[in-house]
Amino acid sequence: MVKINQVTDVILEVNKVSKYFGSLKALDDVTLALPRGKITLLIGPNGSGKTTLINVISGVLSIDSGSIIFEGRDITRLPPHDRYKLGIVRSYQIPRLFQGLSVLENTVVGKDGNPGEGMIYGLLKRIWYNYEKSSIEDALAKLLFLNLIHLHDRRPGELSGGQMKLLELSRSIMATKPKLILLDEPAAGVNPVLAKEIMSMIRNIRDELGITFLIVEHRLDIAIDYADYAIGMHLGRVIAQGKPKEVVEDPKVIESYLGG
Amino acid sequence: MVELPIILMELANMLVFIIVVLALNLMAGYAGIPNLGMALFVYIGAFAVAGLSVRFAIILVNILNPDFIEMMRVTPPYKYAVGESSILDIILFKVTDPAVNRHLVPELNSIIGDSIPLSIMILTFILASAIALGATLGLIVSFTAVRLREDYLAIVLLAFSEMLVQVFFAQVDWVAGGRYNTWALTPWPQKLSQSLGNLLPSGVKPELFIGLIVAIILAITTLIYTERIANSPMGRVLRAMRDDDLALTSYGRDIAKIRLKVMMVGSSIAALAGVVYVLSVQPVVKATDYTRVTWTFIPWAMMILGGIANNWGVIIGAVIVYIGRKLIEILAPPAFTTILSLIGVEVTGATIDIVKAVTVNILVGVIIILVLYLKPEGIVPEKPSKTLPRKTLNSLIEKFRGSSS
Repeated sequence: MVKINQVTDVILEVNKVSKYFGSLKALDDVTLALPRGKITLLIGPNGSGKTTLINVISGVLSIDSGSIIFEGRDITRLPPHDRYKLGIVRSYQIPRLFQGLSVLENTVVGKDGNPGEGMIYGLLKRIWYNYEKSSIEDALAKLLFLNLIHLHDRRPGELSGGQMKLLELSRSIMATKPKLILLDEPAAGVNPVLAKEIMSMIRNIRDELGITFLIVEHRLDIAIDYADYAIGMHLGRVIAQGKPKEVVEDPKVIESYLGG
Repeated sequence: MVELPIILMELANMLVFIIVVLALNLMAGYAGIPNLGMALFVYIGAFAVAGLSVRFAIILVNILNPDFIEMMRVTPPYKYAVGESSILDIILFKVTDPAVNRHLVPELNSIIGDSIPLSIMILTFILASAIALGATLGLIVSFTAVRLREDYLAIVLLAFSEMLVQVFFAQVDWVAGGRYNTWALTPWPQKLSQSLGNLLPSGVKPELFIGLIVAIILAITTLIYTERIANSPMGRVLRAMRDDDLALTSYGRDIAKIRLKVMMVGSSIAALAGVVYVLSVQPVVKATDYTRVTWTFIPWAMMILGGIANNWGVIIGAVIVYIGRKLIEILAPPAFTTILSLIGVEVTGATIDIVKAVTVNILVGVIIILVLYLKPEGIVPEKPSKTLPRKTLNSLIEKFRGSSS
């Protein structure tokens, strides 16, 4: 079996990370590495710690022990917004959309660095107008691709569950210069045709921009063909890693899904 | 028939509320900071015109005329209160003593009024100190704002405001007069007042007229500022922060920094509203008059009724609630007097004041409950931030939609 650690070009290292919720060990001495420019699939039964891992890498949760290294830099103590600036972008499993903003606005907010975001600079339209216009064009292109463009002026409350997932995804692919995108179940609740399109779009983004992806996905039938590597988790531990097919067929992984 | 000066004063007062509501809407409506401490920020502006600027003025006057404080020690009526006190003692403690304050402020006003440069200096000091005090308090408050959840933060802000205004400023006499009235400076040159006095209809004081003009200027400036921010990328980010701050940090925004900036700007605007209130409506400043009902809950009711995160909406809300409140204050006492006299209860002046206050409180409560229950978005609902002209945006959308079909 190929150990991911043996890959030379690593973008992110998670070293002996543990995270407790009271007495529950959500992450138990997790060590793994993500190869640069690849799509890594994170699988495991419910409660195995996948989302906690995403939260810990993106900085939403702090860890109790261990360290996280991104491109050779220790980011263990950095707040989420600073990790974003380094290029770590994430989406949420349960969409955290801005309920008062339109679909288009939700997408545009995904792009950071607008010079007009200040209590004084906001007044100076000529400073931010061009940036704003290109952000909106960018956002419309994302909405067009994700089949949401006809809903551009709706509020998130008017969308279906699947559309909310797509909107969540559209925000995370808006980032200015992403290097690592963490997607928490991007295809859950999305119809199979569109789910495949999303996965192939992710692959296109990887090929064109060399972005690394870590994707939590239960729909293995769809996701597995697009992934380069896979990591299997169970009860907060990494139980298998390597080529997707090998991980899925690993007896420990199968056992964990069967409730072992 | 209501007299003209009263109408002008009510107009100025209403403009003050509009400024306060626009500031509140920026903080609470757009940025989601539940500021239940508005009374503090308005009061601090009033303090800048009264307790604080009187001290600045006496220092300035004493520099120009080194005998001024010496004169206070020997001439009645000051000498009984001032006696042999040191200069520092007089500046810090005696200027807010009612026995000194009520004579000193008119005297300072006439000295200031005689000199245009002095007027300008005092006015600049008043505005600058109100902005500085508002921003500093906003800064202090936002340190707690970073760590607390919204509902806790609302309570902390309310407690903070009550503690400072109703306990510290209202009880410690030397700082800002405490239990006694202090008078505010009127920093207008006498030449201006005199020439206006000849032009204005009889009964309208020049101070009121100038105050009203200042109120109009500040209200328009505040509206332009908040509207432009609302329709900029900043407005969009503020609304996003209000809806889900955690999600926004995941998109690279430092929320602590954004909250800090909004609190500093919003609090400064509220403090300027306090300045305008004192200059146009109420030159006698007393901390206990700046109640949470008048300066916090009524602005909240105005904002909720008009439409949270809509500047034009909250102005409509402010006008409706302001007029409604006035009508109640006029109509409630006679109505209660009639009802109570039917059952043989005699009504005194004190009772009437209580009736006014209680009915206004009920009005505020009823507005908040009814609007939130029946039409939570208010009279004019929130709109997307209009960063691009509608035409440009529509043509962009059409371009992309066209390419899909």
